[in-house]
Amino acid sequence: MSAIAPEETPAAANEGAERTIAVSIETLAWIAVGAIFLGIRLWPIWQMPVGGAELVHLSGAWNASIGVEDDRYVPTLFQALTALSFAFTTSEVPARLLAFLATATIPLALFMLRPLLGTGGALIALGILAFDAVGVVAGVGAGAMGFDLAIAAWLFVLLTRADVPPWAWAAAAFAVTTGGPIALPLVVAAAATTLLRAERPPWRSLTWPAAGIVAGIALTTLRPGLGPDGLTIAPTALFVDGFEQRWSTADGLGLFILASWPVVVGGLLAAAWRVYDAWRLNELDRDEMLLLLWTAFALGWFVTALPSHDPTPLAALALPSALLLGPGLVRGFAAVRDADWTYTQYLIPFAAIALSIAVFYVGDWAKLDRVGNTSDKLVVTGLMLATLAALAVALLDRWSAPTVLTLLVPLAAVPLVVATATIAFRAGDAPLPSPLSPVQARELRDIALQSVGDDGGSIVIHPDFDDALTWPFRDSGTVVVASRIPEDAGFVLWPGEGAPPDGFAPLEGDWALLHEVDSPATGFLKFMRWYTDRYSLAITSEPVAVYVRENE
Amino acid sequence: MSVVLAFWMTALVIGALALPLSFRLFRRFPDGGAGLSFALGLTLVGWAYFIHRTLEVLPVGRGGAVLAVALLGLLAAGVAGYDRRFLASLRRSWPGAMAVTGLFTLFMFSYVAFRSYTPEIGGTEQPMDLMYLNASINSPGYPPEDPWLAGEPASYYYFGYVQVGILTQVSGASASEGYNLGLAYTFAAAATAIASLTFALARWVLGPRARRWAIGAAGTGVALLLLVGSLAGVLELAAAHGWGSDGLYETLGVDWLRPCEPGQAEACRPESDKWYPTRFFFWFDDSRVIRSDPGAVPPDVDTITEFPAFSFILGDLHPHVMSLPLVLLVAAVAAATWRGRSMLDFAALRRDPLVATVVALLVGALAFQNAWDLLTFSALLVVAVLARNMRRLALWPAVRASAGWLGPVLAVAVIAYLPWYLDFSSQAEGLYPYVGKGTHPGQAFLQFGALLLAGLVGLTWTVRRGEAQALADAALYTAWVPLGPLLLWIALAQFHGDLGDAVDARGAGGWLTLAAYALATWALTTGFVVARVARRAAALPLGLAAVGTLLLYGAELFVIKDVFYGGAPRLNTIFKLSYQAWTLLSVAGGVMLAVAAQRALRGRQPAAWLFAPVGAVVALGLVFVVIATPNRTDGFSGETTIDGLAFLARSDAAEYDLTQWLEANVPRGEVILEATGRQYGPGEGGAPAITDGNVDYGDGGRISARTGRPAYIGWYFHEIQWRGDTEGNQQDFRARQDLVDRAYTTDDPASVLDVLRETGANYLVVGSVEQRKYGAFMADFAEFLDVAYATGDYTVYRLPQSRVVATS
Repeated sequence: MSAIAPEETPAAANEGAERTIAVSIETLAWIAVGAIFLGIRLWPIWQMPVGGAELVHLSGAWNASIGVEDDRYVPTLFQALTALSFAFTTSEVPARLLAFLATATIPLALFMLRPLLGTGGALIALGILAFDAVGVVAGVGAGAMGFDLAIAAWLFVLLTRADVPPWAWAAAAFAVTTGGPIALPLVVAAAATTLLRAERPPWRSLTWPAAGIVAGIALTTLRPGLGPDGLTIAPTALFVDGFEQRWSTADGLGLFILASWPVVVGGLLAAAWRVYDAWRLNELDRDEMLLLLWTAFALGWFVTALPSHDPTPLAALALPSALLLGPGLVRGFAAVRDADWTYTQYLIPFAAIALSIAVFYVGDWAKLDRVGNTSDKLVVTGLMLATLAALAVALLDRWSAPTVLTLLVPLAAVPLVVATATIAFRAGDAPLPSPLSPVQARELRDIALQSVGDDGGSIVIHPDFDDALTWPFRDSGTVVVASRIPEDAGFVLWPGEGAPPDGFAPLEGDWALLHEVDSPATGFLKFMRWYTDRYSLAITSEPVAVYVRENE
Repeated sequence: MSVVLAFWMTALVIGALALPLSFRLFRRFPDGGAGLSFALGLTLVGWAYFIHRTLEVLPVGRGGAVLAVALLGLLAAGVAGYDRRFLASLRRSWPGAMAVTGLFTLFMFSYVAFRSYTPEIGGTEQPMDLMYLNASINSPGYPPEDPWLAGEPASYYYFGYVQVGILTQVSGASASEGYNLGLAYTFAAAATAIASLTFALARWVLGPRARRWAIGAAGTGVALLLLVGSLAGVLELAAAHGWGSDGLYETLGVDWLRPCEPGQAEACRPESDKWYPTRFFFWFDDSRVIRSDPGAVPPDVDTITEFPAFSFILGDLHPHVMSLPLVLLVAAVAAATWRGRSMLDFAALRRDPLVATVVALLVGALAFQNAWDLLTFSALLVVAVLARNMRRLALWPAVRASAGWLGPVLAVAVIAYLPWYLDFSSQAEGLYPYVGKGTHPGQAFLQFGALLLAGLVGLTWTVRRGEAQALADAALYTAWVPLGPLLLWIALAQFHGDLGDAVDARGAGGWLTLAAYALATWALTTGFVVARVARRAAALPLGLAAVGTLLLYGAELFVIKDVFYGGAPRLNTIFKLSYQAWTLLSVAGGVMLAVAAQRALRGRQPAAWLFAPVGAVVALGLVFVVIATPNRTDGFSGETTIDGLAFLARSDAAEYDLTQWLEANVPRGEVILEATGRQYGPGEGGAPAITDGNVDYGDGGRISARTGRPAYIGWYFHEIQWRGDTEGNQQDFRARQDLVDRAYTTDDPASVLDVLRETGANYLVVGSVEQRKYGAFMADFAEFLDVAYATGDYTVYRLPQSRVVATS
């Protein structure tokens, strides 16, 4: 039994009469949380606009499917399958369904982690992951990392089980080397754990993973659809790409504030708690060391990538954080149950009320986009100080300290639910995924085809839009990418809003090929306003001039 | 500030990850080698990055650097896991590790504070340094391309730039910030490295109960290396206040330092209106103290006598500066090897291949980081291995055993850096006798006096009563140490037919200096042998001091023939060898002075009281830093920033914006056309003609230096220095200059397009330099090229594009 799951004892597990009920509740709980996990991810499959890394990688996959060389085609196994799907459809939905199917196995992986996390811990971890907004996008989007979260979860399951058949390591290694970077911190952590514990796995046992690695790298190097172009190691290539490319409008810090801070902060606190216990008791078993190192390496990646516009490191950190936070909360709730409520039965409700009033004021300021007058500020400051004082008093006594969780946990759950609900159900206005390809871009393609179909000429696109147009202009025959408008041009997409060239008329309208949804995490009031008004975020786009040949 | 903290944190993480390995290598060091772990970690990360980039396992970009650091993390985990004594080492060494962290932080932030007042990357060879830093970061392939010679791999020892590039990338700094932070890192890592080494040497000499004196040795070593400068600083201060007679300056051979007479403007020092000399860059001359003709007007500078304090005040991110932590690390490896007990032979290598491999990577890095260091510091290691084996074996068996360990190590040292060797073209053409005027003894004293005296003061306490016979015996053998090179010099001079002239040319002063170096070398070598035979720990610092003086002595006798041989034959030889001597004498001097002080104050050895006057001379050496720092920072006035290109944003915002746009929008590896640096004016019939062909140290190649995007040609003479002064190179580089200049001086669009195609460039830059150098000769590029970017009067043009793209 792991030290992470102290709430379960053999005695409790063997209580005969109550067992049926306990099992039944447990099953119901798994079904309910699993359904929430899957349900939240269903809607975006059809409704989420193509954006961020998904837009980049779908573009690469499309070009690969038609044999056009493209750096955006890495490929991972998922991206190769996406390219393959374009033989049957031009839609992103089948690829998303594929990602969803893989992600849908995560509840099962969590179920199998019960021996390590405890039933309650695993359930809560699954619940937390269900509301991980970045994880929703990463787990359903058809980016090259579509399988990544599932790979990481299942790899952790394998690494913490003793009864793994040897061939499974070949499959795991193949999955990792043909996947994206999300599992990399776990791979590094596994290697570090093995080395730190001076384990000496027999050489023969390494042949299976070695075979998987060779097969995986061979596949990615062969780049199905395009052919080899030097050695390609997909996870490291995408890891490096994440630092270089713009896969989200918000940077790492913005995404953290926006979506995942409760999971990450909670996970890190749980990790610190566990490390303290390990130091105090001088014991840390292998699986716990693996989980802690996984978190540490993912945290290192996340911190290093804070200025980058890439949600992947946050998704990679949220997963182990949730696995730590789940059991941590179980311990926390147990402590709450046994805590001394003598004073905190008054202090906690007082703090909750004071905080609610303060939030009410701040919400009002956020709507007006300005801080209130001096008396308002004094009230808010006083309320905040009162809240902090009440919590401090509760925390000063170790027996009453756990009671603050009853305030902090619901408080931390709010941003998780809000961010996830926004992204899952109103992704077009959400700050993630962004930048995104608007429906308008595909409309432009239809107009272009109709225009050149009716009046002849070619579709001409300025090189500045070369990359952005791959996805919306897919399956449009040939287009000319040129920096000067050729004579046979019939339909032209050009930067800026200057006068049309001779012989061309502008197509009226505010055209754009990419939308950027502003991040709310750039200011406190802006952030609060986003909670009160889901449409408060500015959507910016670089204007595109559209010209059509005038009829003689 | 956040970028400074990120850089500092990155360095700390790398240092921390290297700790398990430091414990393995420096088990006998009191701090477990914690002070050396910064250099150790960064060298290993640098090698991993270089080799994985070369093998195309790591792609270009910041993430690649992060992954290289992660590899060090795995190595650290492995070493910590398999080393049974790791936890014990950690418990024993953590106070030292904490102290080292504090020292690193203090030195790094102190230097950042200083440099933030003068961060400009503009003068001397700083654009070249920035160019190599950008090459290491931005080159799409590895080994990196030379941004000043598009299409050719870099041919220089650029490993230091790779390492600073890694710190820059991981911390998220820009190259122009990383440049200055790299200097700060080097300053701090050198401080911790010498502190660790001198502390260990002093503890071995003094025993475990004299911890305070060992700390004093570490402090003195740090000061000697990084804070002490040429004693010419004292004269600069005196002259600035009108003190001192002409006779004093002439006696010391530094005529140009005398105070100016009324109406005198040259070859003298003007009076200062502040407490420190205010003459612009006065301290630069103190790195050119050794001159054949001290009275020449204009000054005839034929050697460079740079020292670390000067290097850090100047702020050139040169290989010999960046290599300071590495050479101290290798010297520490030699010391640890010497101190170890077990045999080092092939069997030992098989038992512990990890340590041997790491040592090989460090020795190999010496050449890659600053090729001049390879011979000196690998020789230290060879001697240490041999001496260790000779404790158990006679000479020849010890040589055989040592070869069993050293052979594979040296082989791996070459193989591990083979991709670099294949591209590197050394310009050293062999060892030649120096047949010119010798060094004036006064100049030699001003330049090296403090260091030499600090090293020699060790003889006051290492030699004990009753060892006269042993000394005499040893002196007979060690006489060959100074005599051997002298005989070789005579033979070589005779071979070249210059002996008679050489003897005369050296002059009385030159012979006196040579004799002083020879005596110092002889005395220190003798002391070393006696201490070695008696198995005293003092042998190590004595040996390091002896090597230091031998380098100074050797640089008086010989020169390495290079591209400067014709005009200033010993320019580089004195420069590079004296820099190594400074480093070694700093290590030895720190120990010698501190131990002498301890022995004197404890009343054990009266002769050790010599530490007091020597200490006073060393203290005078601090004057240089004290007066040069306010001069360099203009009295610590002005805005502060760590961005080396902030000056450009202030002085020419449009040019700065253009540079930023290029870096953000032009793909890595894209060739650009920019001014070669040659000045054009109207010639015969108004046709464009070159009015100034000098391009080095100027604006040529400034965009590629600042962005890493390769220019077709950059600094002409520097390319000659790196690739050889051959007719073929001269023709090739001139042809490149002519071709680029043609694009800017023709009004024929077809010619411009031809140049762009021939050079493989897609972009043509017209910024401030192009307007100044080519002026009205430039065609109206907008007529036939696309305007990719325009800001103010500056424009980046791009070749028109047109291609048919399939979408289905």
